[in-house]
Amino acid sequence: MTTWVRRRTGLALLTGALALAACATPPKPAANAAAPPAAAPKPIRAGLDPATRPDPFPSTYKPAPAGPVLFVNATILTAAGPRIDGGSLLIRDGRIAAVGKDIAHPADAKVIDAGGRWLTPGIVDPHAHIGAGSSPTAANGDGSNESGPNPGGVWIEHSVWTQDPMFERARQAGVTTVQILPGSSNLFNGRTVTLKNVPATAPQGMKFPGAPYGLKMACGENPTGGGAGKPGTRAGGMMGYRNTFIAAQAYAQSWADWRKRGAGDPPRRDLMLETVAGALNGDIKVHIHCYRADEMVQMIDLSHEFGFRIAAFHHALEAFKIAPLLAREKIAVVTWAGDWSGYKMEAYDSIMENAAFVEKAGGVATMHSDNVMLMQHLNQEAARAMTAGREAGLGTTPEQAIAWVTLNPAKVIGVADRVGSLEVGKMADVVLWDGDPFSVYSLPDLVFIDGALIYDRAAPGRAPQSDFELGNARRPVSPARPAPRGLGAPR
Amino acid sequence: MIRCLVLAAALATAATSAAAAETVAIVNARVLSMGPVGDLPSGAVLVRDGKIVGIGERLAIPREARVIDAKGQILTPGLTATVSPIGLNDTIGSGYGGRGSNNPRLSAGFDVSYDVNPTSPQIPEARIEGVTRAIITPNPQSRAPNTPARLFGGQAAVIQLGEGGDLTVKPRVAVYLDAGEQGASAAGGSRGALLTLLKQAFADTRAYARNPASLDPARLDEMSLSRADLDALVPVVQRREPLLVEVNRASDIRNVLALARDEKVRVILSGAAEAWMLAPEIAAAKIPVVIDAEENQAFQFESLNATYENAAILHDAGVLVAFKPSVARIVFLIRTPRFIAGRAARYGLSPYEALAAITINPARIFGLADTFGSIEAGKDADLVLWSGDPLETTSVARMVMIRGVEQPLTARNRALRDRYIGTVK
Repeated sequence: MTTWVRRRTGLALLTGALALAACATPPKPAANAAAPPAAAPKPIRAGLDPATRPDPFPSTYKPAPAGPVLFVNATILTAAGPRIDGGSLLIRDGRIAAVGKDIAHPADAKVIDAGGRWLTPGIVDPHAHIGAGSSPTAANGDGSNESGPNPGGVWIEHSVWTQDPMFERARQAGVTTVQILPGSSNLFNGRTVTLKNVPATAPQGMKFPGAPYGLKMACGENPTGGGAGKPGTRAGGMMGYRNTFIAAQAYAQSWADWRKRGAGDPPRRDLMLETVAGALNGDIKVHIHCYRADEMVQMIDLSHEFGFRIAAFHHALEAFKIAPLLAREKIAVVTWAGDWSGYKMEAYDSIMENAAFVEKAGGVATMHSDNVMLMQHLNQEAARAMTAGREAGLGTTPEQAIAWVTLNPAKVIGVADRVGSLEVGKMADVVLWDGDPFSVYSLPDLVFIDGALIYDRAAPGRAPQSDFELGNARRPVSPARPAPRGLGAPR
Repeated sequence: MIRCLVLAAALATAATSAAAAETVAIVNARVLSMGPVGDLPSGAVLVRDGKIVGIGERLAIPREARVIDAKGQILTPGLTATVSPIGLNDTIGSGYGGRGSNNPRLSAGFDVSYDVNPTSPQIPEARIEGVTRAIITPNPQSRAPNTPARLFGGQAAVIQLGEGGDLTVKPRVAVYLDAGEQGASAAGGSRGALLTLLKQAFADTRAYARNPASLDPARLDEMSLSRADLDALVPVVQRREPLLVEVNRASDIRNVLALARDEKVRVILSGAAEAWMLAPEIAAAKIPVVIDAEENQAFQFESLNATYENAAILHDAGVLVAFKPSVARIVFLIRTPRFIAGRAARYGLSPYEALAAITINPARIFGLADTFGSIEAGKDADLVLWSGDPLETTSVARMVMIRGVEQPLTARNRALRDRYIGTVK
C-alpha cells in the first residue's frame, strides 16, 4: 500500500551489534539423532526451537468440492504456449485434466460453451497489500502494512484482515492468488504470505498450502529516510544490509553448532535473523523493493557477497537499463505499465516498455498491483505494457503478456509448479472473460479456484460478501450487462 | 548578447506563429466530433490559424493546405485531464501531487496557475497520450506542521499542453474546497464546524464586496482569511466563479447542495463517491460532477457506497459528468484519462458519453466550451488521431494537434526508451 509514501521514521535497523548468538533455519529433527548426549538433554520450552514447530501458523485451506467441468469453444491463452482457438479445457478434482483442441467429452462433466469467449489462468498478483493495508484503512487498526521501527521479524499474515472487501473486488477481477507483502519503510520489512483468494474467517483459511515464504527488503527512498534511526543515505542502507546478513550468518552458525553439540541451552531465537537466515539458505525467497538500476546492481553484488538469490526486484522501474543483466542473474522484474513516472524522485526514469524490455532480454517480467484500484485491472495493466512493447518494435505478444499476470508472478512467488498456467495437473484456477482479456471493456464472467466456481457475474447476489459490507454498504449490484461496442464501431 | 537573445526570441515566436498559421486538412477520418455534427464515418476537418474552420463529409480543401490522410482512423477532440496536478511539479512526490498553500493566511486566494511549469516532463508525457488540456487544481490539504488549517484550497486554472510558451489559458476558474472528512476535520473537527465557518465566510465576503472599507481586520484574523482570500471569494458569492467541492459521503453532498441553495453559490462536485445516491437532487440543482471513477470501495468510511456504477447513474439522471484521477492513487492515470473513461464505459456509461466526459464535458463544466472540447468550427484546433478506439488499452495516439500546431510525439519517457532499446533489440 502506497509504498512510495515514507510513513514513519524508525530506529536503525540492525547495526550489527545485535545480541545474537544464535541461529536460524528450521533444522531437520533427524540431525539430532546422530550422537546422543551422555546426559538427558534439558527440555526446551515450547516456541524456543523453531524446528519443533516449523510451520506454526499452518494453512487450513481446503478447496471447495466441485464436479468436473468441460469448457468448449473457448479462445484459450494458457500462458504456457500459443493461443488455442476453438479449444476445450477439462477440470476434474480441482485440477486441469485436459486442455487442447480435441478433448473427449466425459459424460459426468458439466459443459460450459464459451461461445468464443476467452479462458486464461487465474490472475496472480505478486505484490499487494490488501488485508494488511485495508479498505477502509480505519477498519483494520491503522490500516497500514508498515510495522516500524524494526520490523524484520514481522510475518505480514498476522495483519491480514480477511474481511477486507478488496479480496472480493480482486476476485471479481480474476485475481485468484495473491502475495501480500509488508513494508517498504525499512531495509528488512518481514515475511510475505501467499494466499488463495477465497473467503475465509482467518488468513489460515486462505494460505496457499506449501507456498514458500518471502522476505521483503527495500532500497532507496522509503527505507533510507532522514529521520532519527534511519540509515540516512543509501550507503548507510547498504551497511545495514551487510551487518544484518553478517549477523544472520552468525545466527545460523550458532544454531548449527548447538544442534551438532546436542547439549546445553539453545541460542536465543531472533525472528528477524531467523527470516534472514532462511533467505540465505534459500528456503525463503528474497523480494526487493528497488527502483533504480544503480541500486539493483548494488543489491546484486550484495547477493553475491553473501551467497543468496534474489527472486525479484519489485517496482524496478529502471529494469530497462539493465535488462540483460537481470536475465543473466535470473532475477524477475515485478513492475507496472509505467505510464506514471515521476511520482517520486527515484521513479523519475520510468518507461512504458519496461516489461517488454525484460521479456525481450529473456528475463521474467510481471505486473503487480501494489494498490487496491490497480489490483482490479491487472489485465489492463499488462495490456498497456504489451501495447507499448508492440509499438516500440519489441514484438510483444498477447501470449507473453498473459504470462506477465499469471505464470511469471507464480514463478516469482514460487508456486509455478501448481498455478499460473493452464497445463494438465495444475490447480484449476481459471477465468472465463467475456471478451479479449486485454480489452478495457472485458470482465470475468466466471472465476474458478481449484475447480470450484467462486464468482459468477451473472449471479452477483451469490458472490461472497465480506462481513464488513453486509448490512452496511448500499452499493448497487452491477447488472451482468454485455460489453459495450467500442468507439468507432457503427452506432 | 542581448541582441542575440532578442533575435532568438523573435525566431521562436516566428516559428510558433508560422506553425499556428498553417492550414491543415485532415481527411478520410472517422470523426467523433463531440459537437453538433456528431459522428462522421468519413469526414474531413480543416484547420487554419490555430482554429477549426471547417468540418464535414464533403469539404473543399484549399490548395495551400497540408493534407493529413487519416486512412480511416478515429479523430477526436483533444482530451482534458480534470482536477489534475499535471505540470505543477517535476516529480509529484508523495500523496496528492499538487501544489497548495501551507500559509495559514492564504487559502481561497492561492492561485495555482503561477505554479505551472511548462518544462515539466509530465506535460509531453500526457500530450503523447492525447491530453491537450487540463483543469489543474491546488492541493487543498497542504499544511505546514502545527499551523492552523485553512477552509479553502485555492483557485483552479485551465491550461493547454502545447509545446512551448505559456500554458495557462484561464486562471481562477473555480475555488477549490474540501468538504469531506479531511476538510471537516481541518475546519475544526467535523461538518458542524466546516459548514458554519463557510456560511460565516460567505457573509463576510458579501459585506466586503458591498463595502471593502468596512472590513474589520480582527474578523479576518478570526476566520484565518486574508484580503486576497476575500477578493477570491467575491466572484463566488456573485456567482461568477464556481466552488469546486471535494466531497464523498452522501450526507456531506446533501449539505453542499443546501449550502449552494442557501448561499446562492454555484457548485461543482468533485470525487463524489456517493453522488449516485442523490442523483435526482444533483440533476435538479444542475450541479455537475467530476467523478473519481476509479473508486469502487471505501478508501475511507465516507466512501462506503462507492461504485463503478456512479457515472452511469448520474448521467442517466441528467447530470453532466467528467472524470478526475483517483484520490486513492493520484499518480496513476493522470496522463491517461482515457482509461478511466474506458472503465466507466464498461459499467453502463456508453463509450460515447465516456469520451464526452474527457472532452466536451469538462470544457462545459469550467465554462470554456466555446474554445475547446469538441470539433466545431471556431474552436481551437485540439485534435487527436488514434490507432483504434481511443478508450482501448491497445490503442495509441498517432497525431496530436494543439491549437492548430501538430505536436512532436516525443517525451522524456520515449527518449529513455530509445536510448536503451539497443541493449535488447
